[in-house]
Amino acid sequence: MRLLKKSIAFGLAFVAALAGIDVYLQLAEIQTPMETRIDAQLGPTYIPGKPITRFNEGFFIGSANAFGYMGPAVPPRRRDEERRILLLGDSFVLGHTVLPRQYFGRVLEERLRRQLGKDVQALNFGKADFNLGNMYQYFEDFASTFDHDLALFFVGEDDLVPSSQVVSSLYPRVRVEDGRIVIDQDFRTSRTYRFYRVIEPVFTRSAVLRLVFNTYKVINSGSWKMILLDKLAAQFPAAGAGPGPSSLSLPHALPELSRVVLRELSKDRRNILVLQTPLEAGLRREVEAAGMPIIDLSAYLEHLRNEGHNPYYWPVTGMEGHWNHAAQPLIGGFLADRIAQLGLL
Amino acid sequence: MLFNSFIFFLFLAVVWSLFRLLRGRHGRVLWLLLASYAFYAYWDWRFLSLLAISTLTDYSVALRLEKAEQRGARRRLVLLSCLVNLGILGFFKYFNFFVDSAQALLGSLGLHPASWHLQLVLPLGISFYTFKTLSYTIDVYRRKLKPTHSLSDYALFVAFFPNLVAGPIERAGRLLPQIAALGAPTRRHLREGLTLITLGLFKKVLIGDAAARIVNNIFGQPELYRSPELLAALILFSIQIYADFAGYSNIASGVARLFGVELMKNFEQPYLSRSFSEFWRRWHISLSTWIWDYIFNPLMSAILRRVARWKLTDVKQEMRIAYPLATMVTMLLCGLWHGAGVTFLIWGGLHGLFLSVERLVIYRSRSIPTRPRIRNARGLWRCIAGWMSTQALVTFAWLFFRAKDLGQVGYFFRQMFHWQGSDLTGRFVAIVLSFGLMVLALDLLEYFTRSELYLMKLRPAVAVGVGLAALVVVGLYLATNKPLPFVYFQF
Repeated sequence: MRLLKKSIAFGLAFVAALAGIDVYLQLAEIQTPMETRIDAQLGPTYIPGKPITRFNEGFFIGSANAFGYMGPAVPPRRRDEERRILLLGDSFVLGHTVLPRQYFGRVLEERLRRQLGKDVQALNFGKADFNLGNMYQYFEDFASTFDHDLALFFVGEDDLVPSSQVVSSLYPRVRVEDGRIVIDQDFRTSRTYRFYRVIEPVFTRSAVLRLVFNTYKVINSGSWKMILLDKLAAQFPAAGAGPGPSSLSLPHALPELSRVVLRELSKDRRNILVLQTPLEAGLRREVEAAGMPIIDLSAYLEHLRNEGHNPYYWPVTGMEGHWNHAAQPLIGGFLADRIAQLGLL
Repeated sequence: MLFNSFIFFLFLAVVWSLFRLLRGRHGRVLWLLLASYAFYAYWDWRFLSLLAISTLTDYSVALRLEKAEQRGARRRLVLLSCLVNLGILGFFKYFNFFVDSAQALLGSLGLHPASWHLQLVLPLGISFYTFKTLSYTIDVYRRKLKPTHSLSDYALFVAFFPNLVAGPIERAGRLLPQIAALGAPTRRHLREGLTLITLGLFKKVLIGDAAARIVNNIFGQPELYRSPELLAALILFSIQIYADFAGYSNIASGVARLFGVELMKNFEQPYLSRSFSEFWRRWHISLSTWIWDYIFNPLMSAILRRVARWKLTDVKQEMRIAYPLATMVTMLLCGLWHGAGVTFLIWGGLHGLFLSVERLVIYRSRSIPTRPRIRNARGLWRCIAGWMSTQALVTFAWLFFRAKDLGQVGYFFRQMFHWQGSDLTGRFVAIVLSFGLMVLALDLLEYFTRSELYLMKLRPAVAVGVGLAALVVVGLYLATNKPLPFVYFQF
């Protein structure tokens, strides 16, 4: 009986303490709960108004707007005097590495407003890890429902020739069938999807469970050894690891999916491809052959690097990563100038 | 090896397990000494030589002091210890500061000598173990302490890994007798040790490190942030440095207690202080008492001796001259101990100024109690006003402590006087309040229970439940975030 009493006291104290710490973690924004929910059509989407804090290369603090994307809440319907640009891409476009006001999209708007004398809005539809296929699906099913004058698709070589993909069992799958693009919503029948739907109500409210989930991802990625053993981890190489090729050799031919997506997008002259990394010559020819207007941001970024302003270098951490604070306004300005020069708006 | 890393706890588990198995005192001392040297070598084995030099110098000097009777010989011996210890510390910590300052001065006079700047790495914990060894020699010189004849005991006193790299700066008079009687740890030691480690990890990781992520970003590039964000970063830094150092001290005490050793208390709710005198009695107690004993008091005596020759009317007048002078010099040295830089000097100077003004203008000859005695509404308001003004000025002084240079301080001032609002003000206010209330809650628990082991005041099953929950969250946080070094490691 005494043992039972002690166990109950222990259990209650443990749960109460966890709950208390959870509240503290959320209020102090040390760890925010999962800020996405699984939409039956789009897969994971941001929950409007849910606080988001990130400490990646820089520091982000913000939340998704009422429509479920980042930045000021701009409704789908456009006013006559307004000009609107949709920004689609991966984590570089999402911009969870700088404060919202430092985001390149804000500079893009400001610069175009001044240059064109029109009210310009840039809507951020970036999502981490997205490749061209994902962008296409997100554009078709969601972003394009917002009236727009331009849609900028930011891609690098890895997005055109993906070596990895976002968890396919949670996202709609884009594939080519008989030369046509098909968007499969079969993720809704996956076990992962059903599991996420079950845990969603708790995971979107608990910071501690988010930490559990993050830890699970760390263990899965294999970096736990470094975390646990620090310098000594080097003494225990991964099983089966041996001398491999000096660099990962990506196939330089455009996969069928990317080719068809580019061809499909090129039918609408409002769609622009923004190259954010240099492409291998053969790949570049294939991309150009698709006929989509291209803005070569990669050459500008390379120019910045050569001038001694590495756009990927973060002085606070001393590491390379996404576009840094100094690069954000420069990128916004460059894109505004190119859009104005090409008369796209 | 950081106290907030998994590898440290693997190390601790191995060291403690073997320590438990060892039977004789001598074996335990040697094992702990070996573990302490391994702990230090994990960071950089080359600096073990400095630790050894410091240890051997003071061990031999103390033994010779025991035999020496003549005042001159004793003075020469203590001077030798000071020269060796402060020489090493001065070279590694202050050489570049003085060389750069001299070069800047000569440059302003139109002279441009070749640069003497050296690429030096500051050996971890050098400021801490230097003060530890110095106090030993000075205490033996003052005949307050009998020197130990056991080299291993003395070497363990200097290198004892729980307090080697960032204190508490233990005195030989407290630690050596514990080493001389080092036995097997009891269940009480284990319980208290684990409780202190849990509380320390919570403070360090979930308050200190978590606040540091915001502070480091904003202080790293302040020009990117607006006035409310900068102010939030400054307040968060004052929370970070306290949680970081108090958390570290708790872990150090907890780890020491696992081996049956009790370290001195280093913090006693400093942010509840209502005056600067009180603040310095509660903040980094091992350093402030060291400074009091070995710098302030001798200096005050020396100044009073000089002032006495002026034949002033009363002692109060003499004190009015001696106190601010001794306080300013002491606090400037305290600033310089923290870091070789003008910003640290100003930080020390500001505290010297606040302490002097408080003593001479506000309190005069009245004593400043550590616990408030509130008898009426007036007393309560005085208490609140004292607390608010002290904390505001302490936070203001932290700006100099944290800023990279005076340019950054100037930028902060400009932003405060030309207030630029931010759309994120609400979020930052909520963050600062959450961190602040958590620190306040922990401090109030300690204050009212009058024990740093307040968790143990709960029923055992409840205490274990709460402690385990805290440890689980700390573990999860550390698994997904790189552990940050302790702020005081750089000193």
